[in-house]
Amino acid sequence: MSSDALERWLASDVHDPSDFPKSASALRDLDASLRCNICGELYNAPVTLTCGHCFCSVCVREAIQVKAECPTCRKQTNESHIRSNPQIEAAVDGWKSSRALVLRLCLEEETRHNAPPFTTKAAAESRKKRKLSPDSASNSTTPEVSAGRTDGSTSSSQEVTVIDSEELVDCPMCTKRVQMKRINTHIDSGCRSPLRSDDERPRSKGAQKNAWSKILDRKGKGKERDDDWTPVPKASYQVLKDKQVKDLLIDQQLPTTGDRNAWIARHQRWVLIWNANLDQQPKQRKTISELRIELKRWEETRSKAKKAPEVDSAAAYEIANKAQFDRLIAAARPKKSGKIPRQSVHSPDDDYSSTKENDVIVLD
Amino acid sequence: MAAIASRRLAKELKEIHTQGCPVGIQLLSADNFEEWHLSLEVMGESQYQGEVFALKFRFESQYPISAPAVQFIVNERYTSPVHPHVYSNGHICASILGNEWSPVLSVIGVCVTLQSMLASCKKKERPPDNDRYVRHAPDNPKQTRFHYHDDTV
Repeated sequence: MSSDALERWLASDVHDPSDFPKSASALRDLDASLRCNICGELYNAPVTLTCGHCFCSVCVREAIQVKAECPTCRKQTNESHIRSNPQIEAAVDGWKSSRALVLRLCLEEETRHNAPPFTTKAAAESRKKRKLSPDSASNSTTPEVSAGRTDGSTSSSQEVTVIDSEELVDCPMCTKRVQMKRINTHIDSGCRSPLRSDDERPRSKGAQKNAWSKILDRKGKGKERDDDWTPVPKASYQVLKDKQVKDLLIDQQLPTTGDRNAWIARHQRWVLIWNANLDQQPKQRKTISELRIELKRWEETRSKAKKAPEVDSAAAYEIANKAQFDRLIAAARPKKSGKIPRQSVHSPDDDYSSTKENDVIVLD
Repeated sequence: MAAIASRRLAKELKEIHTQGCPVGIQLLSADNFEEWHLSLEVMGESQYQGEVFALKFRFESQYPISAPAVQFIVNERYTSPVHPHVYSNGHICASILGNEWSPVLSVIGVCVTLQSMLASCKKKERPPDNDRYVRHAPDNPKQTRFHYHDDTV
């Protein structure tokens, strides 16, 4: 990307707290406080961890996959600690729809403030400005975002001190409540076994949903859609056979192209974006087909990134990496003549012993 | 490059342009979202008074989930600072660039940390295994598994 294109792109749609002038530092703070510290965007499906730090659901789920700690305070955490935060979501919605207006008013105020004392010349200028303002107003049309409904029904986790075998516990994989005595069979089955003893005969998801909606019929509307919005459990892929992994994808109506690793990556990503989508208010949620498109795009960028280091021209590659080749050849020569260099870092044994004295190992 | 990575970098760049960098840090080049160069100078009294260094950041498409590859630039113009955690080829042994990386960190955040790492240095010396490491070092410091053993400097 050329530097020009970069500048243009910067100017176009990347919003940031620094859009607000220095004089409105409180607004900068407000804008910053409604942004995810991982992606820098206004929160999308905000979730809170037990330490209280808030992130976009997708961002924090990705981060936890890499390292199970809060990105801000490093407190240990896992996916079952993620709680959606409808209050922040509502605040973000409100701010999204008013930000452009507030920013415009703020910049107008700034120019008025900086204008010289009122003279005829200044008056003429300000008239000009007034003429300009309808233009700028039309540029900054506020996006139509309806404020999300908040029902304040965040689930609160309860402390369980003594765990009885009949007691329900959170499954570490799918975060569903499972009886303690059944947790092992539940996990072994890839989180598919019935959750409770009175659930002996496996019921279809739909039947389960109906049963629940009878009990918890809080909001009738929006339920008519055929999308079945229940969290999808993570799977312990390493204990599953190829066919079982494939079945996971078929269950979710996902394509089964590629090899086992591709299936796992696809299913993992699907579970991530699906569950992150559930952290949003129902009105804001993406539809299943939107999620499918998102998954497809993700796979495309991923395969592109993988292909990047492909060698186009062997000759050019040789020239570009000549230094490295020369070094490797020079390093290999003494070995050939029978003398093994004292400080070889390539044998695993040596690596192990070297960790004590030195602070590096080179990965081959 | 994933959309998230370039958007996040665009935001960081915008912030640098509007707010400026902290004292002693300057943006040398950021023409794309793959590689940025910044200059680094330790302000006030320190072992590195009057020296200016340059840092090279390389970003992967998983940024900021994955850490950027950061090293000091070593060429005709710049050298690598003589420091117990910095190798003569510019590679840095700092936990925040490896297993302690957090996606909430930023380019400027890394620069400030490295600045304070240099500022708190008591004695200018190379890591004990410098020669050995430099001989076999991979091009990308992220391929090295450093052992972080010393948090005093």
